[in-house]
Amino acid sequence: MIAMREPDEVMRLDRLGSLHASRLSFLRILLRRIQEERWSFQRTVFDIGADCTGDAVYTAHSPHRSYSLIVFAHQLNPEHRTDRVIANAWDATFTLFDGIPSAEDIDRLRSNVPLQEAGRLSASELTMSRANKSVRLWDAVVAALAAGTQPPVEEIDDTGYLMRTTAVYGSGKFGACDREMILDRPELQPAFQAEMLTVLMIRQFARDWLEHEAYLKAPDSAVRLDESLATRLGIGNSTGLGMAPFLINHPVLIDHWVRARETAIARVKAIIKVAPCDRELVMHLLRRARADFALWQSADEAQSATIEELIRDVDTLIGWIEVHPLHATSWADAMRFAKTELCLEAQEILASVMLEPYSNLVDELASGMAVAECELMPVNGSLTVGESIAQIDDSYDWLDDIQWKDAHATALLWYVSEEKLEPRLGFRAEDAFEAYEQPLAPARDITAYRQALSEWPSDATLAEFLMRQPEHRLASMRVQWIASNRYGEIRGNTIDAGLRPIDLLRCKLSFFGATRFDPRSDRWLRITLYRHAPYLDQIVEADPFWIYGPVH
Amino acid sequence: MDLRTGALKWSGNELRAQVTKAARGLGYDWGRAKYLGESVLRAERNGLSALTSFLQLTDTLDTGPSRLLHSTLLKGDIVTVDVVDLGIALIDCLPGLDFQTPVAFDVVGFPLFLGILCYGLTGTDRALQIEIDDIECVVQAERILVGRESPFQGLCWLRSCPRRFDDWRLVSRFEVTDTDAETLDHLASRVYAPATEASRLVGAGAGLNDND
Repeated sequence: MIAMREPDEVMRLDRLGSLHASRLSFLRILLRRIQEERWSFQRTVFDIGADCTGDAVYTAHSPHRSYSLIVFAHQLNPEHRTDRVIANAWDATFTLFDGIPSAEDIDRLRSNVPLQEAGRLSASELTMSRANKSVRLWDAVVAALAAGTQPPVEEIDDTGYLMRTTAVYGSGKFGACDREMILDRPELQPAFQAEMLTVLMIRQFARDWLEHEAYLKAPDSAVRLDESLATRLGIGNSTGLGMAPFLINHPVLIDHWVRARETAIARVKAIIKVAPCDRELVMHLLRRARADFALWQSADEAQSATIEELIRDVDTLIGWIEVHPLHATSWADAMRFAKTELCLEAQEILASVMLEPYSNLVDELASGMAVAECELMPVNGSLTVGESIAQIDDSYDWLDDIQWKDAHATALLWYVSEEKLEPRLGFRAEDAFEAYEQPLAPARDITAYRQALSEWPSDATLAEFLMRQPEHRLASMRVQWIASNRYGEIRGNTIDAGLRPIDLLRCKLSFFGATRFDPRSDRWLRITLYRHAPYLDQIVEADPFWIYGPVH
Repeated sequence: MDLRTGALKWSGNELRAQVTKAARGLGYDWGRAKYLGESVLRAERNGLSALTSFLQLTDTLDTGPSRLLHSTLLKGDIVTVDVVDLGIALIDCLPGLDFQTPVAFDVVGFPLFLGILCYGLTGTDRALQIEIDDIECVVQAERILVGRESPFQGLCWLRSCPRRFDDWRLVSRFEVTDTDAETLDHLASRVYAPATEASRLVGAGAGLNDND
């Protein structure tokens, strides 16, 4: 077994901001299960009226349980259309119901789900979500289909989705079922499976709704969206600052996600003799990925430059693999080459693609990507101050690189606005919000904790220290968690003036399985989920490598 | 509202999050606030009204450094101290305390105290027997077994005991009265920054209308 990459290499913000989806991404885990267990799907209600509003229900039947997406389709006044959390109206709202809903259930949810944060759910609901139509694409595609034609593939690729979710809430939010209550269900045990199932079925609804609108516009001439075009459409998502605190607040969970991926990478790097068919598959998928990267557009100048560099480096990588002798080259060699010669994005796409032939080494790691409550232990106060300092020095030596006396090192502060509880990032020197600062600066707080500890006798217990200086309890707990979950800490300063929160967002989104990252500022981005994925009636027989784009 | 029963019901995550924010709103550091969220949830999952005792205590809780001495705590001397301070200090010391010899404490705010102990035992296979007057409880990770409702205040004796393996049914939905919900909301709202136009425009890093 080759050693895993060290946290100091992996957990840097620039690398986290370069991660790509992999076999261990949550939507791939879900689709593999659907394929293996041969789930079936039914559209049991599609009561959409002449004004294109109404209800729909899609039910997924797993071997042991059913889950239903309940859809409420609305007419949205253009002036109320916004992707921000502060929105109060959407084109469509959704909930994932545990089982098959009765008419009474749907009536109850019709009074609540369209209100989103202002509504209440029950233990029967697993998620709540909303989505807006793509202004760029929706009307154009409807017009084309209504006229009996297909939209140009370039238009489809430019946007990449018909609808864009702006939140997918799960685990107890707004009264929904707590995740702890459903952990005994294998299909929901890996992280975010209910949310991924929700989005998968929303994608089907988006297509059905679009085709229905085209039919209503011109019943005599309308045609359905061509299958090959439809497959190129995923579901968009606008992701803002709300996702960043999640990564900082759940260090043990993040450790488990990253550890699973790094374990998989290390297992594959340890293969001494790469089989020709495995090498061919990786080459094939790199070429498919490269072709899809060529369609990846971003309005962000830095991301556009990164995409160009990525494409160039993938070409270099393919060339390097081609010229190296078949049996004398391992994935460890390829990773070494990438690390020295290629950009971070290219290093990480290699790390993802090279896992693909090895389901036997990789897939079982998915079950370790969730956290049991028993892992989230309170502080062990019996440690001494000296032992606690040693823990910090062992896990946090990177803190020495931060110059805390420079104003830019503490320039930012995280807070939650009372306006729909939207997470926001402010400037410490300009906003009078320091009293509301969220505990999202572990680098600063652990530096202060270590400084405070150093003023105590090293044989004093941590319990004594925390009695007198309780303000360090959160940092103390974090240090103890990180000591055994070393991939859980982002090795960067999350309140530095130069922070790019989108790096945090991309890390989490890559674990979801997102593609086409398109930063809209340093604080929010658009992505696509399930682009190139099969629709519900095709999943069982679909190409398992769909995420890399079509076969050319 | 739980729309099936007509009662106001919260999920566990909502309860934990709102108590954590309320504790922070009371003036606790984020660490102890997190302990309180976890502790109230654990007690409530076991059918104990720790939210009520937390809210009853809010006027008297001391959010500053502990008034306990470490040596006092280890001897179990009878001291008057609030339940959050005592409970958290006690669970900090749990790994070093075997409780083979019973230790006594005067406790105000019982269901919450049991929740704090329960949280303190997370990840361990230990159990503690607690006698409050003539009522006997067993507390272990995730589980609190109480013979009958404990008083709000009383002298308690702690000693170690074998784990119990009864088939407990944990509560998964939590009834919160309108009054309690309003009190929690009021306290929790102290952690939110005021809504200003400048914050609205630049705080999220997105425009007000970022459609495509």
